[in-house]
Amino acid sequence: MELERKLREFTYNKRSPAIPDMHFSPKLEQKIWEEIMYEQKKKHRRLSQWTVTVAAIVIVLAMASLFSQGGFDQISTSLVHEERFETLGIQEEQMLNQLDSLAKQGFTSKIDQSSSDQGITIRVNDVYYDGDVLMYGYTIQIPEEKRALLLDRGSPDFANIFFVNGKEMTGNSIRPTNIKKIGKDLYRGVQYMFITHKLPDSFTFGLKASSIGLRIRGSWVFQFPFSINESLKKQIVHRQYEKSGYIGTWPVTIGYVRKTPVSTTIQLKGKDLPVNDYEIVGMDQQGQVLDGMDVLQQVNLLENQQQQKVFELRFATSPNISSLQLLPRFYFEDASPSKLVQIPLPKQPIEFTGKHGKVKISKIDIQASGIYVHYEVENPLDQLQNFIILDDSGRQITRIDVPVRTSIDRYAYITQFPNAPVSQKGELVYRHYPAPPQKTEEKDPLVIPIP
Amino acid sequence: MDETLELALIKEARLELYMREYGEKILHMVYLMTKDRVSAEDITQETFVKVYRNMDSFRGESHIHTWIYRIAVNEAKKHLRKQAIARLFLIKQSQNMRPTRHTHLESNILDSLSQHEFTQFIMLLPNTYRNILVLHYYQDLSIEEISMVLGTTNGAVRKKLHRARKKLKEILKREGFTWN
Repeated sequence: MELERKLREFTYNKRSPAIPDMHFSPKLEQKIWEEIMYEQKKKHRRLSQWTVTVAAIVIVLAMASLFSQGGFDQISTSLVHEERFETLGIQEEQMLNQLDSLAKQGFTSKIDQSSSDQGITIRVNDVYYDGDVLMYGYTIQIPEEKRALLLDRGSPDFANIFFVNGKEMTGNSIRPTNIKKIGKDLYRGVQYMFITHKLPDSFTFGLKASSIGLRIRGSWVFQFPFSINESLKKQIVHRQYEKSGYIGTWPVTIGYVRKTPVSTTIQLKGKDLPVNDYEIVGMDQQGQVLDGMDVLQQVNLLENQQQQKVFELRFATSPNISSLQLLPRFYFEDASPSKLVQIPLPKQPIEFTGKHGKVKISKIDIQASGIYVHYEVENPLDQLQNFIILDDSGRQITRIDVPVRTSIDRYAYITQFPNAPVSQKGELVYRHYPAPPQKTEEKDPLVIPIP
Repeated sequence: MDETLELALIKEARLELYMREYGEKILHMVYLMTKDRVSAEDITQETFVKVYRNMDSFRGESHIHTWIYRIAVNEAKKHLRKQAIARLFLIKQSQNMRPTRHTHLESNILDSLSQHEFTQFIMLLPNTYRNILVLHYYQDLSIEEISMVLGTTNGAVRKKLHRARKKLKEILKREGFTWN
């Protein structure tokens, strides 16, 4: 009986729990919301007809600025890693910076229209529309008592809906979930979307939001006259080509190339062209491959008829790109047999010469701040995967996933293992996927000139 | 779109309510089952994400809390199955967690054990027995509710409860505890 009584006392009690220092914390709650948001985002993406994450284009924009600055010889892999993954904060920051830059160049229309509900004011500031891309910036002023409801997921649900002369339109957008805090009670956000419909040069622009983040409900409505900026119009180049050639083994025709300050769009026509299995590789005036194009991109199927498919490929405009090629994407699953390479630490350097060039571990620096692996890849189609550091008893102590280099990429890299404890008898292990041989039936790739 | 949003917001509000009501209970229950704080947080997180994801398919055939507990218990079981190596570690850890024996004469009387100390003895039980005691006593679930959560019969739950009490008694006796 006494045991039964004791067991009855063993009951959850909020005031004196049996596990006193374990609580369902706000941090845990936030993690749950974040996970839910992430899932919703993924779902949203799956639903989209656009095949490739639009988010990546923002990364291209950042890369484009790097193009203009040059200096691609060496860069930390960890930085590339960061950029390639959808670090939402970075994307939004880049979107905001781009909008600011466009405003500075006089390519946006200043709107400054606000709408308030429950003490929360949304103000639409700059609007950019070039016929392909629609971008608008806004601020949210939110009173202190409601700020807790944002929980870092505070974007209004403008999503990809907007109104043209009262008619609802849909763009293809990413829906940022984060807004940037720019003042005590002021937040800033940006909406970025691709427009596939032909819109008039002047129209009444409408926007509606019925929630901010997941918890704040209300109604924020905007309506204002809008015309494509005249200075912007002068920057838009449209070239009709009708040039034919091959992508892989598929015959294609280039329809047009349209270039705006933000995006470049190529129309491609062909039968059974598996565009999604290819990626765009940019080249400069000398025909040198420019790195970074692999992080594109958008493919939009305009027509799908038995005789012909019409696609639009879209990527971030870069001043350095003179021409493009489409090359097959790399998939680890389809790769030629890989080889596991083990290098004793700290012996160096080491070089592997294969059919398609060299992979060279040029230096392994063991420092107090971590281990730095310098490596070079001669053939960009060679892939390395997963640098792992083993200790002297063969146990994995740290691991870094080397980003997949989809076709053309940097030649030299440094990967850092921060604070990796290592004994002098440890090993560096990685998997090497040799570049696949070119298929004999493949024709010389079509080169697409960019105006 | 508005309808979807409406639905989403209703779901939001419901999830918030469930987290407030059951968040800590689930966290504690999972911790008592897995004996690992980090895993308990991860499993609790996964539980509520699943609750949100599957909320529309909950038909109200049972009380919402048995449905949530069922998700949590299944998640915890899945975790324990997957973490075979981790489980070995946890067994080791549980041995380290063995409660310290009292040195005072009267301390060997069961009644003198604090709830925290008593919990530590429960943690020494094998998974099946520990889980059933946690659900029945700590979470205050009835036999019927436990059978729904575990997907078993009332008779099986009663049998396991009986054995769990017996096992706990053996452990306490072995530790030198006496009953008043």
